Amino acid sequence: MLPKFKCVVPRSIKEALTLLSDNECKVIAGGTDLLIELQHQDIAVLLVDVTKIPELMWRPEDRPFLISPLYTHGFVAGSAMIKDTFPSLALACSKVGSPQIRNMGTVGGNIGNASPAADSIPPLMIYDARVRLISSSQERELPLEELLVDAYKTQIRKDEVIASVSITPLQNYRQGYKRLTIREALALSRLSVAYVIKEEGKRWLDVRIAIGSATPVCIRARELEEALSGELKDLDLLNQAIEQTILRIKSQVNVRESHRFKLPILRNLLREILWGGAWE
Amino acid sequence: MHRINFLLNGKNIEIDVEDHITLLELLRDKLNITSVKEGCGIGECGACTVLLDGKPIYSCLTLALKVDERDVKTVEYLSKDGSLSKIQEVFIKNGAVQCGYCTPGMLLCAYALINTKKEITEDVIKEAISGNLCRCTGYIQIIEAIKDVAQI
Repeated sequence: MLPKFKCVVPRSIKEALTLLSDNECKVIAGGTDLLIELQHQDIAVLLVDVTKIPELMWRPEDRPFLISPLYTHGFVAGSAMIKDTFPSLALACSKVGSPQIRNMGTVGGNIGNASPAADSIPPLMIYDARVRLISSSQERELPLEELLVDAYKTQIRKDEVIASVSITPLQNYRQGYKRLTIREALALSRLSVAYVIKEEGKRWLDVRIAIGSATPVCIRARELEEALSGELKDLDLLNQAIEQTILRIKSQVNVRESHRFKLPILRNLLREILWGGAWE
Repeated sequence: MHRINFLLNGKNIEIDVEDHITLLELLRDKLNITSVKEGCGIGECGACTVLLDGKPIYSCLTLALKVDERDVKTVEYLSKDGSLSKIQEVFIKNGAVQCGYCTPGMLLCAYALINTKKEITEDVIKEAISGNLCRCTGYIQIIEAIKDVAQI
């Protein structure tokens, strides 16, 4: 049972922003996280349902490098255009929850909720996602990495909505998303890695890695990226670079029981991804 | 309070709904569609599955006001004039209905799958019903039934 609340369904962005600036509101899109949260509260809130705002919706064909916050995970996973241009993102979205959750939950909601296990966040990070936020008084754009502050905490103010997420396509990169879960379907990521890697012969030309569920906020493994990009493929170098990332993760969080299994698996996953295929 | 208009199993419904009422509550308590079950209430078990514009969603996590101007289908849609649809017949034939609690949700996911243009394989079937829990059958009979109707 949900507590009694009011919910408004604005039909334009202007109407939504006025509501948000004049009231204490919560934005609802798919509702898959928010309604569960509200089941445990009895405080009155005003919900603003943003899913009927035409300015927030467009076809990928019309604005191919701009992700609408209202795209559901199912839509992203099934769009031929997104699969082609941003394969890591499409693959990650195909792993979210269940078919029903994927038909409900949105990319904007995934960012706004900022779960450490959000599947769409690591791939958005490797495509250098920038999030455009609008309020009735201001418009600003932030890199996704800066926008996420802590687990379930973002820099999004209460009067702002996510207007769009711009991402940069990469050509001739090996791209993907791997995750560790307790079973194949209907499970949260315990660890996830989104990657894009450009290689030439025995050299890594450009490496980008984002890791989810290991720290309160998903991270780009910048130290590893910098250590490897442009270098000849070498297993010792790779192992050293991976250890740098492991050290950083350890420094960001207190020792956790789950790290006893997560960190060894992360080492192996990164080695598998970066070495490209089988390794010993 | 919101006045909403939507299609329910092909029939036009116009009704006033309170803001905080879920689609599950609207269907069961106001419209007497009791095939839609509340299992977990947190979007994990699939007993409350309905089709929204042809796609499976959890009605327990959907506000009723969100279906304004949209198309909702429940398992009642599948049978016509008192006779069961093919998918329902094959569920019975394959022993895919035991306690029956998950059955409406399973049938709707199977129906939605068959209506997509996807090539249907056993893995595709498993994925299509991965948001629905069944604690009786062990899933084999349900998968067999869907294979039967998809003719694979």
